[in-house]
Amino acid sequence: MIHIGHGRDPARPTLVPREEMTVRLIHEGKVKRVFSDPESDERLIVEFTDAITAGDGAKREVLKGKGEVACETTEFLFSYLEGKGIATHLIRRLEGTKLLCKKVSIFPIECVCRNVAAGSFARRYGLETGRPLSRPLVEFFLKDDELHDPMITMDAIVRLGMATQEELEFMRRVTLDVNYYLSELFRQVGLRLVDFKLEFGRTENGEILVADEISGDTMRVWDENRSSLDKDLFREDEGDVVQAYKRLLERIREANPEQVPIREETLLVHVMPKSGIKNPPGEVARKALVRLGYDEIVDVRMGKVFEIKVNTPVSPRLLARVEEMNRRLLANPIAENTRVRLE
Amino acid sequence: MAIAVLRFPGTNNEQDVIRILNSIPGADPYLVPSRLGASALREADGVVIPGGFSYGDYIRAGAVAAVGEVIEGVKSLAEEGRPILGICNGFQILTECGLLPGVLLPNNSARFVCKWVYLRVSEEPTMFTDGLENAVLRIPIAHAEGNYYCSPENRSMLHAHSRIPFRYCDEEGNVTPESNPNGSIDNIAAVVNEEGNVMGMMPHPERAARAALGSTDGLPILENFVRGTKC
Amino acid sequence: MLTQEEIAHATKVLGREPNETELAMLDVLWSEHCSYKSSKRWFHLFKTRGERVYLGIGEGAGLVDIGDGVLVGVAMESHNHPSQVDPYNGAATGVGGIIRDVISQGCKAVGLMNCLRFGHPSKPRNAYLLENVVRGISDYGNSVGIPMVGGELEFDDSYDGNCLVNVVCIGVVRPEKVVRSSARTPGHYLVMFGATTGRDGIAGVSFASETFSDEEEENRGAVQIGDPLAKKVVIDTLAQLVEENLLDGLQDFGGGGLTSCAGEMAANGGTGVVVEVEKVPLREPGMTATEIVISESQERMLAVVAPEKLERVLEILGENDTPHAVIGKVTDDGYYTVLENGEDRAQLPISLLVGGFPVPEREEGSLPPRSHGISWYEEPEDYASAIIELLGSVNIASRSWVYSQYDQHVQANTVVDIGDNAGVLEFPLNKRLAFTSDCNSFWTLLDPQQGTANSAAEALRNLVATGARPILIADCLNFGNPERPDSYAQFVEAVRGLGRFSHDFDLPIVGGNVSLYNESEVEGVVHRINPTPQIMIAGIYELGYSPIRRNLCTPWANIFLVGETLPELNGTEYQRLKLGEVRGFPPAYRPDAEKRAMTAMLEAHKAGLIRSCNNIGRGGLAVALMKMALYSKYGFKLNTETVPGTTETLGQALFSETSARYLAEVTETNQPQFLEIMAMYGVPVCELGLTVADRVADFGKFRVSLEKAVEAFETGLTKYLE
Repeated sequence: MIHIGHGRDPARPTLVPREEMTVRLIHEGKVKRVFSDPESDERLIVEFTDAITAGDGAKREVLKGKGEVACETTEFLFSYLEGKGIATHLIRRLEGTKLLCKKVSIFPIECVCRNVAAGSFARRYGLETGRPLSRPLVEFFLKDDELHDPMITMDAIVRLGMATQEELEFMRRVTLDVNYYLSELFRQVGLRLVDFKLEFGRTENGEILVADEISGDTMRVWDENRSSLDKDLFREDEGDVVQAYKRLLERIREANPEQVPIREETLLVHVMPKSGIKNPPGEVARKALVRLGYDEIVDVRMGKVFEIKVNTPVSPRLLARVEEMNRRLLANPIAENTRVRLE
Repeated sequence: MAIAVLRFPGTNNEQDVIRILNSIPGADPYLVPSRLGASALREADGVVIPGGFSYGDYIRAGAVAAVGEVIEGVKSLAEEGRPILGICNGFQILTECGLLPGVLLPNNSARFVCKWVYLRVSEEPTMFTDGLENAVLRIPIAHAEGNYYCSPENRSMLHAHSRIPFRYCDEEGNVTPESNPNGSIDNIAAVVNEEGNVMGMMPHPERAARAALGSTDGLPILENFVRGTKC
Repeated sequence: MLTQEEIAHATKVLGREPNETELAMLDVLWSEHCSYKSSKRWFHLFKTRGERVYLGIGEGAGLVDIGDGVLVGVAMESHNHPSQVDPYNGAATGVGGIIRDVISQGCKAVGLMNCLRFGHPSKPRNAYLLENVVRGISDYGNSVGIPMVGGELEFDDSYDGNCLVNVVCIGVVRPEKVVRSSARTPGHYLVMFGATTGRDGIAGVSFASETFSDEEEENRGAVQIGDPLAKKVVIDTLAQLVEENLLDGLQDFGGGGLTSCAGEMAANGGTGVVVEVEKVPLREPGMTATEIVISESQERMLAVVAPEKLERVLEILGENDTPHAVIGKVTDDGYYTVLENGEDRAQLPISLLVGGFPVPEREEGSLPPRSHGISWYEEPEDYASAIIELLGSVNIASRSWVYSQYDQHVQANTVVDIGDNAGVLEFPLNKRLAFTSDCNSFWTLLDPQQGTANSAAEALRNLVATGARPILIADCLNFGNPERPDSYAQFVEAVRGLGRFSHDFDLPIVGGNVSLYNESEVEGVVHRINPTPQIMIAGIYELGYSPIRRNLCTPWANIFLVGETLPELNGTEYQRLKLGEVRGFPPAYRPDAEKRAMTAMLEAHKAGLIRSCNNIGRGGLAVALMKMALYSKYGFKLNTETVPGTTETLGQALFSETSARYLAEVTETNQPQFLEIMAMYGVPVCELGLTVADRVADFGKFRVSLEKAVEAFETGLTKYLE
């Protein structure tokens, strides 16, 4: 039983019988609730309710069984992604509609990836729904109901201090990785991943994890007949949503995760001399260019780029290991700075 | 007093060093290909890391050699107080692996430079410069990344603790900007560690150790090193 | 590109049309670079044999016996066309290639030289080529740990579209360790090692046998990329294999790749080879059999190994972590057979492939006659500034910017650095050899035969100035398009000149290379390089002898001019600076005077009579004397204005480039003996003046400021580069 009670009293002794520990509601969302984990400061409990909304909460209903299938779908797909090397906030499923997750502070940003024009994207540009995009497209939206979740550019996110350039590049790249792994899995069973939304959160030690959920609520999936198995059914009042969500999960479960190959990823490490440290190769290049007649040149600095191909998706662990590579070999910390680019 | 002379892929001065050591009584040099690892150094009384282009100087001079397993053996010996001498690429490797402070950057001219230079020996003695205090030595250099640099803190500390055995100078022994062949701060041509048993030097003493080659000023440095391994 | 005639000939001999792979193989082996089809017929003019010649021209390196079981090996090659397109890699792989030639004979490589030609460095393109060629040579040679001991650098507009990069490698070996480049025994294995095979430089040699098109980008695909780290591994691995006597035959993969490598070994051994291309370690997937056999990927060697030694060879190759594979066998059928997974891809008779080309017709045109008159000559108003101008000329000024980028001391055997008259290396048993290379392309332009012979004499003079006795010659002949009669004539005349010299001085030519087609067509106009026969001569010192240097080193010693001076101002650097071109008949080759002067000088050296010495070459007497003073602690004061010979004015005496002359610094006590030796050999000599303790260059009638002279000398070249 979970009691919604007071915050833990710091004066109370730390060893408390489990039944007496209280669980705090930390956040009440439109369809999910987030509670503290009495046993750990580093974990949370996410509860999926049977509520379903559309149009920024304008349309709302409660459908029995929806919370459980959304929870189960999220658990299945996050576990699948973890198996491929992508870091998510999932620890494990608790009873029925609850997931035990790592505690993260959520970025106020939605990362949307599109393979096919649909929904607001199609409307925005007057496109035919179903028009395929030549390459997956990642867009960002501000999480703000009052402002109706406006689209926001990467630069604006950085200027507004919501995330750094590096963090955004990471999230964008992971979103593309998630897109690949989900699309490949769905393709095995004749399903098409049209688009989906991810949210990310940062742990206390700075790791960025895929958070929130992946379910019929947060993605568009079409079957062979271009019928939706997702929240569009609710938006358009076109059928039994919970049934569709269950059908979606059933079909996904028929796929074989082992058959989705790990794809190779490339990242770049830029090594540049620290400012203030002399850079003779750059200095010589500058003089030579000026000598060749390019008198508009003021300064030239010469660095190096390492193009590194790995056989794992981008994750905090990979970035930490690349940092180690930089420190141990690729750059000399006395004289050089490094920057990892995930384009 | 077996002296290990390391060879990495691309090292090219190991035979020169062994040949000169063989002419010094009691040196007993033996070649250690790096692939044999740290265990090959266990019996060594001292180590020379010779010049060359270990791993093609790829990434940075000495960077790849510095993370080789054999370097762990060098570090253990250094900790025990055994003499370690790094010449040219060897100096680069010693800074990259942290046994000496600072870094060797590309020469100011961004070109390889090979010429005979004069070195002013420091006034305060070190194991390697015993008997040479304040002397002016004529020894050749040959390097593309010999431009010594370290943080301001380290720089003050090196001077304060007399850890700079050689500085580039003119024929009369004056340390001047004109006599600096590569841009090193304070004309630094060599550095020792705090304990004084590890030295890195950019010039090549083994190339000035036979009369036929035009100078024997490098020989006493190597003789001091050999003597140091006998303790 | 194969000519119609060549394809027809091959078809006739084979009795069928050659297939694609066979055509590619014939194309590379019948290219000028590999086959010498335009030049070979003239080599009988060279003296190539000698008492001391252990292995003459024909294999990787020439080997000469210098006594006590020590053989010196030399190889010389050009890498001109690749360097014009990609100067860094072209020059680097040139160095890589010449090293391979020497080590493939079983030698240890102990020295390098490089001889370069470019258009005037005031043009950015030429400065760019120079900087990158030097960087390429420096990066490569320094990395493999072989010291640079000499070279030459010359500039002329004729090299604008065709730079020249000639390289020399010097080695040493004991006779019992020499490995021959022949496949002698059927049944022996062909083992390749050193690097993987990619698509580099496909048909690079046939590229070198054509002139440049306007579209330089088109030419870019044919360039190879070197890897000095891999080469170092090859050098170390080979040393082990040679030490254990594991190799029956060895050749490096040079121009023409696997085709020429295995083909030439079979030709030398009178055997055949079968090659299984699927066994070749590849760097790029999906290469065709044709590509594999003509690829010019660098750092590869082919060994012939007897079956009982194969295991040990493979063990050593594995230990050294070098890519390797058994790729075929020596056969007794006289064919070069290429198999791909058991299927025939090519089958050519060795006799057709190697040297079986139809000999092309070449016509030797006639060369313009030259006048001996010097009516253009005007006495300078200001001798001092004329001399300073000469010292600052790009063809005389200091080259230290170039050679300070080369490691000259690695291996700790360098007795005399670059910058003096010759580089000197110490060999086993304290033997010392000097090396120098020369070619005055202005002399050779005006008269290819005289100019070539005199250029060879110039190299000889450089050696003799240091006290070394010449013992061998290697050459690299760089000329234009042999299909054009006037270019061909230049080539043939040059060969005649070098041939004469080799016989006159009894010096064997033991190594060499020919590079033709050094012409480019720019907007319909043909630009041809000056005839450039680059000649390298090595000399040996008496045991224990210290080479004599160029800097004046004793105060109050006499400065002697050895040899007579004729008013030969045509073809000189003085003329070139005054007129902007050279014309007339160049300074003559005078073998008799040259021989007498050489003999006398060497005897004087042997008796220890000479303190410092310089030969008189480009720029004449004034320049030669100034060079002795520039970096000396001392100066000089001349007390005569007339010199032996037929010059009529002071200027003629100072700037003539007559052959067979030296400047010697001799102390007063040694003077009588010195003069006696000169008299004995009938060599004209006169005392020019004295060395002095002050830093002055006093010619008597005028003085030259040494400070200004040093500055002109030191900035003459660098002012275009920095």
